[in-house]
Amino acid sequence: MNGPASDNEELETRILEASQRSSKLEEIDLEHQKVLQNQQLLYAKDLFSNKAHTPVHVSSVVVNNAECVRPSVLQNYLDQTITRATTFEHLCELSDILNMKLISNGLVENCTQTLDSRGVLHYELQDSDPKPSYATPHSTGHTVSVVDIVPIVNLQPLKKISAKTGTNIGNGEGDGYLQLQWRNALGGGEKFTFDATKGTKTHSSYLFDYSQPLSPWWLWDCSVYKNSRSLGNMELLMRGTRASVRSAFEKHKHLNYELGVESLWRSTQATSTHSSDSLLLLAGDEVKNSLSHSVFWDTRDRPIFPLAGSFYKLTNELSPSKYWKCFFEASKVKSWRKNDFFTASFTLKGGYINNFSASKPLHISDKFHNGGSNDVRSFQLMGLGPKDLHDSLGGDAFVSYGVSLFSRLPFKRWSDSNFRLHAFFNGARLINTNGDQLKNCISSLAREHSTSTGIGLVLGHPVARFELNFGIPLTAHTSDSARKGFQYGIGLSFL
Amino acid sequence: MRSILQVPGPVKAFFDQFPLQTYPAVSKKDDASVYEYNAQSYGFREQEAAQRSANDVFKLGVYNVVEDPESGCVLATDPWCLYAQLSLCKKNGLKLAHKKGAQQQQQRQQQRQQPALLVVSRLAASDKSLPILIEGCSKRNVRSTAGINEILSSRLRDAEELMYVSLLDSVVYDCWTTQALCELSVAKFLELYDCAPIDVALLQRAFYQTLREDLLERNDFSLRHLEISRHVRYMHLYQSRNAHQLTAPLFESCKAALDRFAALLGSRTFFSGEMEPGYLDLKLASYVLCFLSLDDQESSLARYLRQEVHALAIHSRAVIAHFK
Repeated sequence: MNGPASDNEELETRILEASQRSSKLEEIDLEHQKVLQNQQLLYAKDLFSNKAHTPVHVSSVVVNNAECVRPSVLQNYLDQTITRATTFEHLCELSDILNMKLISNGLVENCTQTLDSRGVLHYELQDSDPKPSYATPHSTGHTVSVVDIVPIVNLQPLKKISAKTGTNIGNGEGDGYLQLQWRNALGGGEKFTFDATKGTKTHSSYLFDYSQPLSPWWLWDCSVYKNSRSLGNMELLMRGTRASVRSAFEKHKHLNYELGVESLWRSTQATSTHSSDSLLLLAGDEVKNSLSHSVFWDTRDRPIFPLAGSFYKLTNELSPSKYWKCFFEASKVKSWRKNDFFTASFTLKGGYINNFSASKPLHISDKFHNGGSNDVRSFQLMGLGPKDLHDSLGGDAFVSYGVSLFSRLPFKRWSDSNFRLHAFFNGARLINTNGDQLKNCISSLAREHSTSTGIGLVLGHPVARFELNFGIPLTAHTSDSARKGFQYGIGLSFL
Repeated sequence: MRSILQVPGPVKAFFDQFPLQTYPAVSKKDDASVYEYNAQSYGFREQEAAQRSANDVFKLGVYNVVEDPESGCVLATDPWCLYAQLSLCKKNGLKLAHKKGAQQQQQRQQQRQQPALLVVSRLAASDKSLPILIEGCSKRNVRSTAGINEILSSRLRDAEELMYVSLLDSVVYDCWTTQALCELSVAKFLELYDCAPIDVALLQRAFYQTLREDLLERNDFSLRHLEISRHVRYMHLYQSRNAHQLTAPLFESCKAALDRFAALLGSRTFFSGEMEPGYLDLKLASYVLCFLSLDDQESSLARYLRQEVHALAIHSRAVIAHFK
């Protein structure tokens, strides 16, 4: 018997079938689009690989929105990048560099390029002074064809003035900040920055900074600052000025350099009623002038929480009549399995300070310090090395190392997130060489290391890396400040 | 009652095993630090070599020291520091330190085991004011200026002595501070109030100004003398009246007070009337000695004391002779 109920069932069945059919059609459509995309990609790849070595000549460049950059500066960037292209592959590479440099040097917000051609130029090879011609040559075999390219560069001007305020809270610390920026002030990438921070650890900090690209590959930076922060049981007030020139060559192809000069007046105040003699004698005012040089080699895919690549850094600092300081850092990161499921990171750091004076000890802020959530985990900040009573004095030679293993979360839902499981092993040795011979110094550094291990969870955010670890010290000195249990870390670089 | 946050015994016992190996403390030996300590410390002399544990040793942190040309003793350059120095000598039966001679080289290693005068920056004190009393080693306590003054006030014999000391710490102190802030040359001021001034000409003025501003805050001087404080703080910006008009009344009050103390002392050697100086004697002598350590050209009060009030100069010499 057919009733209204059976009609309804029939209708529902038809609706369900229709929705299934439409979803199937959508799936087919999606797959079709994917296939088309892949075909286009393959075609483009083929085209690029086949024409990679095709000679090209950039005879002119069209720039849209060029008014946001000074003509001489823009000309310099173009002269040093795309106009030097000789082959199609080279042009693509230089186009990328131009985009990257215009953005990273603070000239534009974004940059896109399209390529146009005015035809093919023919050069007669038999002529002593070959003249290009668009005309088809009569003779064959003695000419070379060069594609005449006209890149069209579209610049997107950046917002020149910006202001930012905010707060940071973590590790029992908190601060509020204000940042004012005037970018690309004179059309050449000039940037004025004013930073003001007030907080618990950094009690106050004021920075006025001016930076400017000297060329696409070199940047100049100078700043005036006043900074007051706690350092152990001391309050360190620094007023100073710093100027530096640094290179910005392609990281994975060239070494980069930084040369800096700094002058500062620092006031060190004891804040505790239990200060040691060393700290009481250290308190006071001092002027420091220093010259520093750093050389870097960086092939990491990203600076914060990299998944692959290496980073090497060597820094030398000379403070006339005071000290010479040498510091190196080497780290290697490697990932395995699909979607970089496992990652291993190895870091080694070391340093040495030669005090020129036999009567004046090094300032505590010039010395090396080890320990803390971003350094040797499971130890307190400045928890390793020589101590007088409860005051960490720092050392003039150290070695520290860390091995970290990361894995994506073993849940499908979370495996693509920025969270990673983390297991680590850290170690360090921080000593006062007291003018000892190099052999004895190395011998001291090689034994009695403070080590720790633990597991935790890491969030690799593009802005900073966050860690929550549970760690235990394996070996320690009686003077070390160990920290068993949970430790929270936030920062840009970790051991 | 067990707390929910309390770690269970077995878990605690497991984690207590870590670290698995413990090494001796990292050596803090630094020859440069030892050299600096020896250069800036002046050990009090003891009548009998006392066996002290490290926790019984004290050091008095002062701005700077000067060698007294007559006695050869090392004296603090600031009246409050000198008063604390003399008071420690009196209480502990110590003699004043002498500038180190060659024969003392061998003793330097043991200096951390003997009471000493330690020249430190004002920044060694959390309130930027010296003297400070550094007591003990493993049980360290750094007493502030206020803490030292409180203890020394409690040692005064009676209310009359307290009144005289208060008079000295207001009228004469204000005169000393005014003189240091407004009359002394930059070089002399730095000699009195900092052992290691910044030697960069460009920054010396700013450093000098910082020191002066810290001194303004000591003993509430800036509260009592707003106009002088403004003059010192904003000398280049603030058009105060002539500095001499501001300071002259203080100098006159100080001279009157010193005259009265000279009259009060009369022909006695010490106020206490005994062979040993009392705390009032030490207080007065510390101010007088600090004034007398300045040249006549540098200080009108020094000139006045030398020419007009001989009794106080003799009195202060007697105090020093007692602890020589």
